Amino acid sequence: MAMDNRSNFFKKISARPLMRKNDLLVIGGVFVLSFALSFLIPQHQTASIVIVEVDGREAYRFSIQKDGEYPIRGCHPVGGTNPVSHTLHIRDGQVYVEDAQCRDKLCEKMGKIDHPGQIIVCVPYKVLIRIEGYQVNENGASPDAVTR
Amino acid sequence: MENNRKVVRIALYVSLALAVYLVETFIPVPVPIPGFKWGFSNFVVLMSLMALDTRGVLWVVVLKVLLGSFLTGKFLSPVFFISFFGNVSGALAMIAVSKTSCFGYIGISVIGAFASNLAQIGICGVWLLRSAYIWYFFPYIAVMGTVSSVLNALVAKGGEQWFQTYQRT
Repeated sequence: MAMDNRSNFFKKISARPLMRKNDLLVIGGVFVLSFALSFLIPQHQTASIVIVEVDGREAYRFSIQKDGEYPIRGCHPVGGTNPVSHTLHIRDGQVYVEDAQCRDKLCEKMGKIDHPGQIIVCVPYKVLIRIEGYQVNENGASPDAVTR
Repeated sequence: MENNRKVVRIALYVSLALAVYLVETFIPVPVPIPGFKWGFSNFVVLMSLMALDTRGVLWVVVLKVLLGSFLTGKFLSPVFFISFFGNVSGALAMIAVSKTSCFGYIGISVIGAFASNLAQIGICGVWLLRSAYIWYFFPYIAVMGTVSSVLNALVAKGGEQWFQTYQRT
């Protein structure tokens, strides 16, 4: 009796094949959608401003041309006053985060970003750092492009 | 009797998923996105999808996320919410899709991963970060989720066949 049950159970599950033709369509669809979405990211712009959003609102705005270290006050995960949660570094046109107060320090591991469309995120403190740029004009040169 | 059998099955799937989940935390992730993981423990969800009813699968998923967050100390942290909503949406999508016979293991797994990624980014954008810019991550996550979900499908199918031969001997 018990054995019968079990063998039925396994007969039922092996009926479905590993792959059907529709599966290829699904995989193709996901890839096409991803590539289409990645073209929405503005990569043909020159980086100019670093914008820090805290809890969805723009809280800080820095020029990427000016090197500096800025304390960022994120949104406290539990509540109360907002402590300094990160230090934002801007150096040679590259933006990165240090001294993260959260445990994972994923924002530090995200490394350096230097062109529009890249972001650094800290979920616990609701901080999102992004770079905005402006369109490069037709001869390719912009008045004060970042020198590397 | 039948109920006991079901409880034991759920417990087995949950413990297998937890073991994989914990081993997975030692595997490095190529993109440092909060809450992003390869999601290899989802092959267990895929297996349970073929063996249990809808409620059983949901039990497996919810227990996996809850106990996993207890074990890694992330209960009620933002990462927990990302993973909870991601896993539950992925499971619901896979349950819905597995009611039809249009897709094989790979299709179901890829659809589940896609739904889970959509929910993860959605919960970040709408609630945790409240910024639409988080969608910039989506193409990367979707492609990597597809790769890992195909692997999950292979493991789930292989695992079932292994169970089957194991049982016959």
